[in-house]
Amino acid sequence: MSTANPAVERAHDDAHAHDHHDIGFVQKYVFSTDHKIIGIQFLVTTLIMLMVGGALALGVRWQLAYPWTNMPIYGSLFGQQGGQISPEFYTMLVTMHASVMIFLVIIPVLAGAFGNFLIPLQIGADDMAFPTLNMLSYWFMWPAIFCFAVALGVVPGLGVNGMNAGAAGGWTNYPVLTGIASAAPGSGAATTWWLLGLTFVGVSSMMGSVNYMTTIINMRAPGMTMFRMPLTIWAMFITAILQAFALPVLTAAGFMLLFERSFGFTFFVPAGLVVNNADPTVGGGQPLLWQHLFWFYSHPAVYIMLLPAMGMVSDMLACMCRKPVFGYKPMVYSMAAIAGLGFIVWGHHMFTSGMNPMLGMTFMVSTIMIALPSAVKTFNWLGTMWAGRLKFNAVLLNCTAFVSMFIVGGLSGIFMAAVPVDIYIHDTYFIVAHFHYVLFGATLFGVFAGIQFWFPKMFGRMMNDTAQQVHFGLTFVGFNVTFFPMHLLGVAGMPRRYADPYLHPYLEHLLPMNQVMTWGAILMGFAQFILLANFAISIFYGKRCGKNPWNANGLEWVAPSPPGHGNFEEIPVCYRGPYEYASPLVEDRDFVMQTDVLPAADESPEPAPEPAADSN
Amino acid sequence: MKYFWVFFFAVFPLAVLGLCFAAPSMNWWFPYGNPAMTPLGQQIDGLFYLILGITGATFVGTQIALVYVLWRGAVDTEGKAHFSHGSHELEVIWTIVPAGILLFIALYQMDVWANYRIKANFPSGLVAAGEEGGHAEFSGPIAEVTARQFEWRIRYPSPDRVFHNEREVREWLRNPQPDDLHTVNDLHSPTQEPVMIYLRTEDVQHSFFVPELRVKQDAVPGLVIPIWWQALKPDEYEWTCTELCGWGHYKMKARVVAEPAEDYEAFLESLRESQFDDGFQTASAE
Amino acid sequence: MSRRAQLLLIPLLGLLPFAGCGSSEPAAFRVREDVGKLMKGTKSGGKARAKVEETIERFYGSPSELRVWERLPIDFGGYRGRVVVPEEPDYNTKSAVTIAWDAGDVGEEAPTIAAGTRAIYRPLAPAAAPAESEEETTTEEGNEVVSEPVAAPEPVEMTVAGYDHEKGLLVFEQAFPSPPAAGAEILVDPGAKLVYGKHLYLEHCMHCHGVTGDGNGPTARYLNPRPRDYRNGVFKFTSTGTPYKAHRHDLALVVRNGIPGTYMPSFLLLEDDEMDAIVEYVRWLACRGEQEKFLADNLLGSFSQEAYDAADKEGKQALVEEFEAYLASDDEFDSWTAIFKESVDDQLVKKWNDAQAEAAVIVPDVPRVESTPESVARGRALYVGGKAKCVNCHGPGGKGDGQQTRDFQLVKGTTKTHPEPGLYDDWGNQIQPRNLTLGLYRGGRRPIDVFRRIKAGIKGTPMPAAAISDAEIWDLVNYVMSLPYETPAASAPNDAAATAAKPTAAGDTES
Repeated sequence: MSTANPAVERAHDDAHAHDHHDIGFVQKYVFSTDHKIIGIQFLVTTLIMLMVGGALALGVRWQLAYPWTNMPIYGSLFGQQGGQISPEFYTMLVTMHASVMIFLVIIPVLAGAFGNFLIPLQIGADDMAFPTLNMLSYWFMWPAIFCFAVALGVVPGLGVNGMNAGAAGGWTNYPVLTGIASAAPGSGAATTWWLLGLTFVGVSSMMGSVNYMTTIINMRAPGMTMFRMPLTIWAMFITAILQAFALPVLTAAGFMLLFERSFGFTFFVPAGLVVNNADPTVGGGQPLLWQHLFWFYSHPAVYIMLLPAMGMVSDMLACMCRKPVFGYKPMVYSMAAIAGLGFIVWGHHMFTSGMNPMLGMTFMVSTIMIALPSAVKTFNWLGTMWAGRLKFNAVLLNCTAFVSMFIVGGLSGIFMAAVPVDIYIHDTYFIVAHFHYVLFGATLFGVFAGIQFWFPKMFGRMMNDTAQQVHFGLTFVGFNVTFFPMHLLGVAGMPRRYADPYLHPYLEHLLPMNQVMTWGAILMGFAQFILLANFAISIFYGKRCGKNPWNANGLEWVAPSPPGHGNFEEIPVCYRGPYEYASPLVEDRDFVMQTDVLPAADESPEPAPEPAADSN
Repeated sequence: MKYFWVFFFAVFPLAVLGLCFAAPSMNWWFPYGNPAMTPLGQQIDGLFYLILGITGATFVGTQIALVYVLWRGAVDTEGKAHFSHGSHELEVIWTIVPAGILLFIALYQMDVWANYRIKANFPSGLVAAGEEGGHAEFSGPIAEVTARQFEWRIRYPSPDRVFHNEREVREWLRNPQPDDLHTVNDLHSPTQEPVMIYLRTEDVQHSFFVPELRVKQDAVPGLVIPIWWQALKPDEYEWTCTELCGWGHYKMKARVVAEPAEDYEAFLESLRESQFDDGFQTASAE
Repeated sequence: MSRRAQLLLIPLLGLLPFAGCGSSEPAAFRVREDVGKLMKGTKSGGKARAKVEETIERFYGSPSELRVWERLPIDFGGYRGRVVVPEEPDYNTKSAVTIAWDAGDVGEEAPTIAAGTRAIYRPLAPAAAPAESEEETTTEEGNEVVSEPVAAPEPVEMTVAGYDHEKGLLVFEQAFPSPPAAGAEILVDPGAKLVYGKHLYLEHCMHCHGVTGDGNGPTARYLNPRPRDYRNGVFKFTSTGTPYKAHRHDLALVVRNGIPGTYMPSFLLLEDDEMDAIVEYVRWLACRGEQEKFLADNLLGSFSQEAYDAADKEGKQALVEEFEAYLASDDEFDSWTAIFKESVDDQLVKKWNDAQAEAAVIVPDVPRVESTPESVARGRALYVGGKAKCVNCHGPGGKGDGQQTRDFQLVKGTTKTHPEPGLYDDWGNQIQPRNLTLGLYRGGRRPIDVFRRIKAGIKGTPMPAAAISDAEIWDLVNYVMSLPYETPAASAPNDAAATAAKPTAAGDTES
């Protein structure tokens, strides 16, 4: 790694050779193999899907606040008489909200959008290792989106067997409910499409993760040792490994369920069940098998949905606090620990499922211990912010919100890791509160920060910070009004996925609280239009900026904004870690870029002199 | 503006704490504001409060730290930030201390879980030693509960039936008997003594959840799962389903009636009477 | 366009989601398919279909505005009483009377009558006028009274200002139009029960049974068997004899216990008043549906759109004119109304009231025959024999696979056969005879329930009433109820055994 990367040089020459060669619009912006374009494509796609998923969520919220009333928009589009929705439509909303948000927003926005855009730039490569594979990984999202759209029930005429409602098995899609077509209105064709969509998402993710691992291992710029990589890259690297190991299990499980539904295999459905007076099932499947396989992927997937945001936030916090990341190596190790432990905690989703109760104890210990690396990271972020010179812009605010919300989400996780307490709160709104604090509260605030932080690099213009601050404030308020009371609903014993909880006397009095939460959600939903508008307007009218508008250290800030084909004007050479803010080595500024050659210091691109912090 | 944001982040934990402290008095806490109605449930509540205490303290501590660093960041604008890449000592401290606390939490939970779910630890009247072995206290299950879309069907053994050992229970679970008594959505049980039911499902997964008793167990196709509890107070306890079971998931409303032993027996007798009603004597009541 | 204007356009995109934000159609009763086949309109404007719809609407209203038509055999709720002492108006604009409630409406407890409740005051008819008068009131959202043009004075709408139960004093916001006479009728909160029933129905029942009770709610299409369509006024599981409609208890029993083996769940935890209101609303929907069906059946012969189109096409001008003249004339419409009214008395009032009578309920004339092996053997003989012919449908093993399920059956009332072999119910759905070995009894598992199924048959299905003696039915019941179990003889324990076993059971629980 100590010599210049030949791939960089080759691509660099190519870029020169083709300087005046005009590639067509389609090749440049649509079927592009340029990682930056692909990253932006992922970003725009996921932002659109974010709005779709949010719209589905608002449908859910409306039903919970004003059950069986005229629902705006949905009522006139899909509603029955009186504009009210049907119970199976509600379960569809719940299912597809989760599916869209997880598979089409959170996973692709982190790995797809930021992973693609940042990995080559931050390690000083000209592109991904496999550009065409990269392009395919984006375009495999579209069959997935199509399949999910069909599963949503919006494409008429594709139903068979009279069962053409939207997929309604929950995002966990547990058979037997989804294994027998007659078991639920959505368990007909829609579930098959849902599984196909899942498979396409998996293919897309897998292509991405192979690419990321190869790129990060092989294509780092001269001097960019593993421990000089920004934490974002570490996070992407660990995420890619997680994906590569966990995803095959889900894919296999998905195919097993598809085969079960389509070709009469019986992996998951026991014999002799009669549902809806259909013929009795045959075979000897085991419903718990799906739960094991599904959660073997989906628990690590939770970290796939979080680790990259953790990495990005570490980068941004250091820059906005003008201070090195506190405990760089502990940060790396704790991410690795999360990834490692992440593989042996899946059983905590199944404490009440009827699996061997002895396993409950094992999984409880491993699950509770996974809180430890998360705690270490939290303390390190606080350490990073301590005695910094904070730049109070929306990036910092979103990152702070990330830390703050992650604390809530992490702490509430301990309740459900404890088996006895989980007996009570399992499948109640406490769980819903918990994962929204982690996935929205942490990840999405990190993403909002990331969009603004790397926007100048993407488009050469800045986003309007005031608009972002307004967006942040409204989102933060709306988010907490919506999700914090869910903890209380959970303690009050309100189960998830109830179209009308108020049939049950012990939940009747929670209606007003749900109404407040719904208005919080509506506020939050409409606040996102500020982000979208700011994003769209800034692309064309934002303030132009130079290479390094944030005075940051990473290699991506050496490249022009936006970087041209091949990214760097000359091969960057990396002399130090990415977090040398407030370094006493320079007088006139508080940052030292990774490529800066300082006359005072005896530095070389050789990996030998590690940054001081690494010795701790 | 930056002080506004420091204030903003300070308001959040205050609002959260305020809400949490107000919640019990606003009836946003455990159902009907009551402690659990079973001894095991009260232990679960105890563990809940223990974790709440630990996490609450952590929450307050970290949020104070967060607001403090923000405030310091807003005040200190001169010069450069403190140049530090970390501290080995601090890292060790904040790894070891939480690790100890977390391990304590984990180990402290074991007994309750074992008593709740591992059959060998069930109260002695509910389990017999071995398949054939029995003992004087053995009483067997009070009922078999079968979940289906979207109701709970309950089968009681005839009051005349006495289970002597596990094999007889198994036989009974396998073969419905003509003298069994049936109800739907209405499970009666005696109070003050441990009672056990066997849970199964006729179609998809369901979950047996009685919030006030802190009992929850999924019903899984192909499995017959024992659940036990000991209701402390005669009452009607609401009983719901907590595993998505189809479009009518929310409709699975039922009740567990805990009543004094003599009322329970009277209930079974009246159930038997009505179930074998031939309409002849009761003609005038129709 | 200037750049600034372009900038302003972008936030407008945020308004896009509101594009679909129109108000949806309010819930409405769906028109029966047959009615849809009636003439929509002729050249001169005769509209058979519209007239049927108007008629039904006039007497039943819409879900948001239910009508109280007191002739129907329905308990609409509210409190009915008669003026005892007309008080002098002693409040500014208010008037007061003391009232005696009808026994059925107000029991021991004081009725809860809040200020602002609607009331209908019906002045005494002049001596010459006929005693009977036709009354309809609408409820809640717009209480209006539709009255036949008889000599009786118009009912007056009033608003209650207050009520004192001890004195029996009812105070109104308005003054009476004429001083009220003792004995004049006052109806407070008319239709309260119906409205309550509707709210509960829309919450619990509508997703399957539909707003109209046509068994075609949004979820219905995924269910097997299909939810009941009440509009024929036929309910399957009743305690009443073959010619009778369902008793209120029968509907309540089904709602309370659900129907095992179907998606009808148990609504055990409904309060009694909720149950009453739902049952009453279902009966009301059944009445509505029956009348609609009656009108459609009677008119479809002569006034179908198809017949009109055919006549028009073939140039049968005379026929066309006849249609038009007939439909255009209001006299003719009135004559319909007359038919309609008769149909109410004959088809609805009498039948539904008869079903409530004690005589309608099937009571065995002998107690259950003890379930001995001999009785079961006799039952078996009946089962396979020519007298009860159970085996034809339910099959030799009771698995519901008899010969009839493989034969082509005639469509009821025609000479055509169904396209598919098997048995059909009156709603046109293919149905399976019950598999008796499963131990699932849709109409209830008490011996008396099974007895009634055999004695009266199952209404609306090919299951006929058995023409055998009650003692024989009991043998058959014993046989059928022994089918799910391996040892056929072991059925219900006799009372002696139960009493003897009691101390053992008690001792057991104590230990």
